[in-house]
Amino acid sequence: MSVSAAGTVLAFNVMSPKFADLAPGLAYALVLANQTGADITTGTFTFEGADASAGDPCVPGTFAPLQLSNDCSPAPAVATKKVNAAAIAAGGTGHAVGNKISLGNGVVLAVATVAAGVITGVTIDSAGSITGANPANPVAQVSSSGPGIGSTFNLTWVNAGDASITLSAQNPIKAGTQCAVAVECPKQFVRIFSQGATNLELLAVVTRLRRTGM
Amino acid sequence: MTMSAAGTVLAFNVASPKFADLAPGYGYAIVFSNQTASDVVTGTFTVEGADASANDPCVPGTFAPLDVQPECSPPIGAAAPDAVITFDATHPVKAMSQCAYAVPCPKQFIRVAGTAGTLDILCVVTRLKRTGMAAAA
Repeated sequence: MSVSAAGTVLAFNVMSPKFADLAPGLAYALVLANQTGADITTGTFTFEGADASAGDPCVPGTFAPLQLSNDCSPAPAVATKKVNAAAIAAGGTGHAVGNKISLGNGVVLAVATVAAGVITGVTIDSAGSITGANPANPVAQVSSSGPGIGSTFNLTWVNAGDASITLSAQNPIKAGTQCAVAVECPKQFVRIFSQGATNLELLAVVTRLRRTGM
Repeated sequence: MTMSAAGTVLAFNVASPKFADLAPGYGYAIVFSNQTASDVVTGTFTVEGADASANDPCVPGTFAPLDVQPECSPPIGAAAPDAVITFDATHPVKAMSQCAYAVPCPKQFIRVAGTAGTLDILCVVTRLKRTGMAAAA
């Protein structure tokens, strides 16, 4: 009785700087596994790829975020950016939970928590869109759906085409569950760059292996 | 454009005390992944299994070493051996390579006991149940 499962799947820890080589298979999935007993509600995960290095086909070259693309063609020459994080610089006054704060460039934040009218927490309601240089931080509110004034925020801009996911209280990875991703048109090597999250297992599975059963 | 791969596979870190739940799929493999540039030439690992606890079908009961059964039937005569995997200089996990195992007749929950060192000990569950199902007409 053999217990070998050679040739069925490959599995990797792909938490950067570790990586997976997708070349041996025809399909893959990146898995964010929450094996804890609590929801994971924070963290931004960018899926990065690299071609083989010039000198060694088994070693990755420089990693960069994988780009979302409809047809696997190169990304547009002018990158479009969106906000993927907003930190409170000044909480302002007169705000209430649920107010929508516009910052310009299509960026809208939702007030998540307040203390006596001062904003203590926000979520990104609309990530906005820009091209070219990032606006200087802090960015002042342009308007609000409520009476609040005076809030400012430090925004983090990323390429809109970057393949990434951001967890939040509204979009968590629930306790004991997983999130699986397969960015189209990946590179030979992939990995996941994690910001702000712990306790997640960042794994890659390569399936439909070539040369099995030969 | 979606990048979801939901319903294709499940993957777990199964270095004890972490574990995998095999119930969602029909196939599985335990993978010892050496993602370093050096061979792993030492290590003894025992594949352990557990049924669900009496009170919660999603929580494992007590883990014990899996037995390697010849045909999933009770062994005749000699006791079935534990599912123990040993790496040594003659049988290493080579640099940047992997070893995959699937002990027959596992329990619902499995994990791997032993000192992982630089190995990543992972479990992949495949052929997931309830994928591709259509709504009832």
